[in-house]
Amino acid sequence: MKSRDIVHISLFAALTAALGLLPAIPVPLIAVPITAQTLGVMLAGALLGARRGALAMLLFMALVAAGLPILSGGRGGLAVFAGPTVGFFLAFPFAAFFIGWCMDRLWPRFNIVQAFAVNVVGGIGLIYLFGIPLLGMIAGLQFGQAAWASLAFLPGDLLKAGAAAAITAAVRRGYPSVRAGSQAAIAGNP
Amino acid sequence: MNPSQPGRRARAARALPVGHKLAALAIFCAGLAWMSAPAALAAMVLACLLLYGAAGVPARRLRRPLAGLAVMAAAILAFHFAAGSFALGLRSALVLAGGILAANLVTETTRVTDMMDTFERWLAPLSRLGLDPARISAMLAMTIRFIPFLSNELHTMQQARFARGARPHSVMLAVPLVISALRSGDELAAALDARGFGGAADHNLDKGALS
Repeated sequence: MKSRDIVHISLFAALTAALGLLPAIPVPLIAVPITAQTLGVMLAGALLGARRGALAMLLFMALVAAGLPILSGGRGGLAVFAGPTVGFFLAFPFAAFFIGWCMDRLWPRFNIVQAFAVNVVGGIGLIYLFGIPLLGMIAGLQFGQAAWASLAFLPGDLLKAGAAAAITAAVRRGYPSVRAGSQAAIAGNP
Repeated sequence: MNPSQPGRRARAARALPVGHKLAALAIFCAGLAWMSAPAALAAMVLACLLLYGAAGVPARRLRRPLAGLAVMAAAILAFHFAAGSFALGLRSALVLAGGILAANLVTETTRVTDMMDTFERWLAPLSRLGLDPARISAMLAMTIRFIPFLSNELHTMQQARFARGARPHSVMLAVPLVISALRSGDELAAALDARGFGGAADHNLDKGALS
């Protein structure tokens, strides 16, 4: 691994933490306030690619486990791993890997609609796929009940998937060398 | 006594090997999962609270986790009460309380640096798979340094937007934030390489930074 990879992985782990430190945005019409944290997950995958994005998330998780209060709402420490929302958190590296894997292929002919779709499948679908069964297990709910309880976060997550796609498009134009080194980026260079 | 100085019991709890504390936590959580009688589970939760006292954790440090726990437990109990499965709800809430309190106790009695040292020691065998432990340590340290850096950058950009009369809170602020972070990161990577951190095989990485 090159120094640049090491620095970028650390940067996106820190970005995910910094986004979690932002105060939650209360959204009119939606009861649940939106936190920006999963934006970091989607951006790490989209901008770093599968492997480095997943490593950034593992790094973030290690720091949460070590006790830094960097999960949204100032949570942190081992208690997170015993809490009912642990599944949503454990899914971060898988979500980043999936989004990165798709974006690696999408990057040369990047398209914001496809990027949004990838973010929805990886950043929402995969995260809920891990989160809802574990929420059900810990809270003693059935899958359907846990899914209904999680539905409140869906509108906010959809907004974030769109925002992440727009941000990825803008960073791709503004700093294309973020993907230098990944084969897809080289293939896409004119 | 200065409240910021840990007491004798707190120092003793911190001096326990991290591996032992984590193993005890794992056994405790396995016990919670295995038990089903609410009375036994309540006893486990109570024992956990007593351990906080034994470890010299000040009561004010418990306020936050307890408040969060109360909200979660109330939600679970209310839901199960409405669904007519109160016994299951009570058991879930007690297991949750025990697990969260025990895990939080380990975090409270362990310095972040000690915990990270333990992770690094456990990950050392991965060097055979090509994951250098020195690099893992470097990444952990860099991430901790980058968090306040990025928070400051974000704050500066919000101020700049505010000064221009634009809405200071916009999700698209992430664009200049990410680009500025990547730019500083590339400078840092070049500096690391100049000091020989990356090793001789990594000389082609500047291509990306300069293109």
